[in-house]
Formats: sequence, C-alpha cells, structure tokens
Amino acid sequence: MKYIVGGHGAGHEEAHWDDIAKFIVTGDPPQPTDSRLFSKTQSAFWRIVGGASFIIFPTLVAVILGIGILLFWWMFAKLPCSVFPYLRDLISLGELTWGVCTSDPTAREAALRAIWFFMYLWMVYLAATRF
Amino acid sequence: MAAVRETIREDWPGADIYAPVFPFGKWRLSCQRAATIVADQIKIIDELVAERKQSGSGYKDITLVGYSFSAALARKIAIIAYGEQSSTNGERPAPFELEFRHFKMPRTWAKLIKRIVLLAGINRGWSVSSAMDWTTTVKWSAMQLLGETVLRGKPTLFEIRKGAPFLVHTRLQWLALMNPEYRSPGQQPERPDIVVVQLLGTGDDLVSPDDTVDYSVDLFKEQSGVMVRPSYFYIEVKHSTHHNVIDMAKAGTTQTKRARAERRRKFLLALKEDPAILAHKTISIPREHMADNLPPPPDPDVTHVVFVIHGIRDKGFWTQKMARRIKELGEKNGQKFASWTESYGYFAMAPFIFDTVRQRKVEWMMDRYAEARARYPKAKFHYVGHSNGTYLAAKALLDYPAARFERVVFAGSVVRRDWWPSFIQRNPDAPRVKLLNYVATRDWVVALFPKGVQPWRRFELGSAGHDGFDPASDGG
Repeated sequence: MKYIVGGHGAGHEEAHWDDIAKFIVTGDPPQPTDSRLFSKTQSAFWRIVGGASFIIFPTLVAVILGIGILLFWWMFAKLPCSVFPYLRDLISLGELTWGVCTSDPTAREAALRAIWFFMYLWMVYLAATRF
Repeated sequence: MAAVRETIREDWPGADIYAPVFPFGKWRLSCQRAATIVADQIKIIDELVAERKQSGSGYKDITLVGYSFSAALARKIAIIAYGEQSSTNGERPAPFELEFRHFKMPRTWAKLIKRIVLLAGINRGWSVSSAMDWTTTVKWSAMQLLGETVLRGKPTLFEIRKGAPFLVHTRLQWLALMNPEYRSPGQQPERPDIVVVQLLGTGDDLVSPDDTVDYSVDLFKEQSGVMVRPSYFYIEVKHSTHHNVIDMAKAGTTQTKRARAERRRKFLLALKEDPAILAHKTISIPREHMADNLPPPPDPDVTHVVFVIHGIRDKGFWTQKMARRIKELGEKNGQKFASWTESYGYFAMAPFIFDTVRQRKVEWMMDRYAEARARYPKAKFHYVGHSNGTYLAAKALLDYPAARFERVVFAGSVVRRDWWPSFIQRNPDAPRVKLLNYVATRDWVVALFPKGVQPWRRFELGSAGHDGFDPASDGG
C-alpha cells in the first residue's frame, strides 16, 4: 500500500487528475513512482491520533457540549426573580430551592450574560453550518 | 377514488373494477414496504385473471389507474408483470428487488396491460420544496422529521421520496422495460405496447410537469430506428389541484360543477381515447411545451458517463475541471464521455454526522443517476468521489442494486473499512467494480471524525480514507 502525500483534499488536487482520468478511461491504476506525490509511510502523528480517535472524538463532542451546558447554567442559574417572581415557587421543591433566584443580577451581569448567550448561539450556528 | 370508480363503471359497464385500499391511504405513517404491497397485488391480479379465465372468456385488456403515490405502484405492477429485463448477452440493466425474486418471469396477463392512467402521479418522488405553499411546507417538513427520526425512515411514504430506492428502481426498471433492446425472460427483445397518460391539475404544486422519465422513453425509438407510436401523453386538467383532481363525481355543488365535468372528460379521454387522438396538441401537451427545464433528449452516442461528486466542507469547483480532464482523455481514446458534476451545496461537518441528512444526499444523487441513465441509455457509468462523495457512492452501491459504477475512485473516503468486503459479499453476481482508493499521509479529517465513530456501526462512517479497506475474502 502506498499513500498520497497531503491532507484530506490531497486526492482531488490537480497533481492526481491525470492519474484519475487514466484510471477512469482505461482502468489502469496509477504508478506510484513520484516521491513528491506518493509515500510508503503515513504520518506517525496522525496514525496515533487516528488510533485514539474513538476516545478523542467523543471527548471533543463532550467538551463542546460541556462548554455549552456551563454557559447555559451560568446564564440562567440565577434567574431574575424580580421579573418573574412565580419562578421561585415553580422551581422550588418544598424546602429545597437549589440556590436559584437568590439574588438578581446587576445590569452589567445581565448584559454580559446576554452577550455570551448570543455569542454561543452564533458559534454553534457557525460550527453547524460552516465548519 | 369513489368518483373515479363511479366514472369507470358508468362508461365501462362491462369492466371488472379492482380497487384496493392501501395501508398508507388510511394512515400516512404506515410502514408496510412498497415492494411488499406490489408483490401482494401481483398475486391478487394473478388470481383475478385465473378466476375470469375459468368462468369463461378471459380479459381482453387491463388498464391500471393510479392516483398520487399509487401511480408509482401501478407502474411498478406493469414492470413486475413483464418480468426482469435483460439484454441478449444476459446483462440485467435494472435487476428486481429482493421482494420480487419469485416474479422474474413474465405474468400471463402482462401483455393485456394496454394503458396506465396516472392521476397526479408522483413518478419522480416528493420533496419538501419552495414550490409548495407554506402550510404544505410546514406539514410535510414535520412529517419528514417525524418519519426520519422516530420511525427511522420506515414509513411507506419515504419510499417515494425523491431518489428513494423503490422509486429509483422503478424508474430504471421502466426505462429498461420500454427500451426495445431489452427483453423479458424467454422472449424476443420488444417494447411493450403500453400507453401512459399523466393527468395533472393546473393547480398541482406537489407534482411538477417534468416529473417523469417517460419523456425520454419515447425518444429511444428515434435513435434505435425502431418505429413505435408515442406512448406517453401529458394532459393538464383545468381548475384542479393535487387533491381534487380525482373529484369527478356527477353529483356535487354548483360551484364545482364545471371543474368536475372537466376532470371527468379528461379522465375518460385518458382512459379510452386512441393514442393518435391523444397526441393532438389540443388534448395533450407536446414535449417542447411540457416544461422549460426538461433535460435534453437521450444521447445514445455517449459511451461513458462519470459522476464527479465533492465532499463535505467543499464547494466542489474542482469537479468540473477534473471531469474535463477525463473527457479529454476519453476523446483521445476514441470514447465519448459525459460527466455529471452537479453540487449538492456546501455540506458542513455537523449535519454530516447525522445519517438522516446524509441519506437525503444519497437520494439526491440517485435521483440524478436515474436522470443520467435516461439521458445516456447506452453508457457505462463511473464515479469519482471525495469525502462525503465516497459515502454517497458506497451507499448507492449497497442499497440500489440497479446502480452500476464500473470504475470508482475514492479520495479521502469516509466509508467504513468493511464496506468493500460487505459489498462483494452482498452482491456476488454484481458486475465487478474496479476501485481505486486514495489514502493520504495526513488526512486528519478522516483520522479524527469518521474514524472516531467507526466503532458505532449505526453512524455508517469509517476510516477507509485513512486506513484503507479490509481485504475482500475473494481477493476482489
């Protein structure tokens, strides 16, 4: 087995177009002789990363979701009880109040939370549609 | 459909009418497989024909009438009735699905099918499109989401989504059936004498006028030199929508009287009129007036077609340039190549993880594949795919037995490593696919993401573009 030199898009780079065209037209596979285009070995680093990807990938997803949950909690854990006083009764369970609605955020805190909230949503939107 | 039955009964008092009600007609999210429904109907028609023969004279002819989704089923019944088509050298251009393995021989009544009348027939499938009004869009989007997530794409209605396997096979099998070069088992190559009439309401926003491959079927004859009369007629029904095109009852409100009379008149024309009269431009719409965006006529001179399909996070401008290189080389080798490089748009990483979204892309591609087979009836097909483009081909080759790609190039493949041996195992008699898999030295995208989910088979993704494929047991 020989590898083509490059990253994810290497296979459709112009350097390989003639080989691909030849394979499609004649069925003959390319001759991997040009060392600038072909290599006998793969990047050791990415082999190791690939070997651990079943851990790395779920961890990455957990970290991204975790950041979102943390931001979400930070933004909404201390709810503005003066604006929605019934929330205290709604969220409280008997004697337990879980520390919510204990104090109202200052205007600066509320503004920051709103900014962070919309930034997070924007980042999620970008990641979901552009990355 | 009661009004349709009544109209037939009045005009054809001697006709036997068999009008089954299918499960999806009662419950939209019914999950019975469309192929099973068709197989059951074939058995019932076998019995009806046998009974009639026993009681005296047999039937003179059979007319199939289908409305909306059932139009696709009506067409499929005709296809299965004629048996699996093959060329004189045994090549099967559009093999039957597994459910029809006992129906490969033609039925005794196949040649009695003289006409198929499609009432707002969904031939190319449905999709949630901008052409729909907003209430229909919301309703269909919600149904699609529910069907994809909770019911995992199993509702029967998903089998006639644009590009779904059942529908693509039906279209390819119809092309094979109507191609004079193919033949039913044990018979000479011959084109069946079936007339297809599509009745479409002027206010129908579910089915577009170019919703069928029939327009190209009639053009086969011109290239093959076999003179056959036109078989496809498209008739528009005034003042009618997708839902009320079947409302042709004599009794009803005064406001709808004219519209119902128009539907009844057009339906009877479609049902009984001679093709020579149907062809008149005052009755059916000529091909050149059917739709502005109809594909060009079939080109039998094209010997090879190559699909070049881009992947995720890619606009795919390179596909056209690479395709040009292939066509140039083909020309030097005396072969006429055509290419299909259409883009499905920018596809980001996050939606790529969801199999339901990827499935929509597969269906998008296979819808184009059926179009390409209609346009290039004599060509061999090849494929060059990058990243998600490799997934589309891999899925198509597994799920669509009629999909044929002879030479396949994968680059940065996100397909599972065991795809190749699975494909060989599941398709032992499939024509050999010659595969060239480009594996890069530093493909971190495949190493990290598709490989990261490879242990979970449900994702249907893997690291063939980083680790290569597992070897096939037979060395293929």
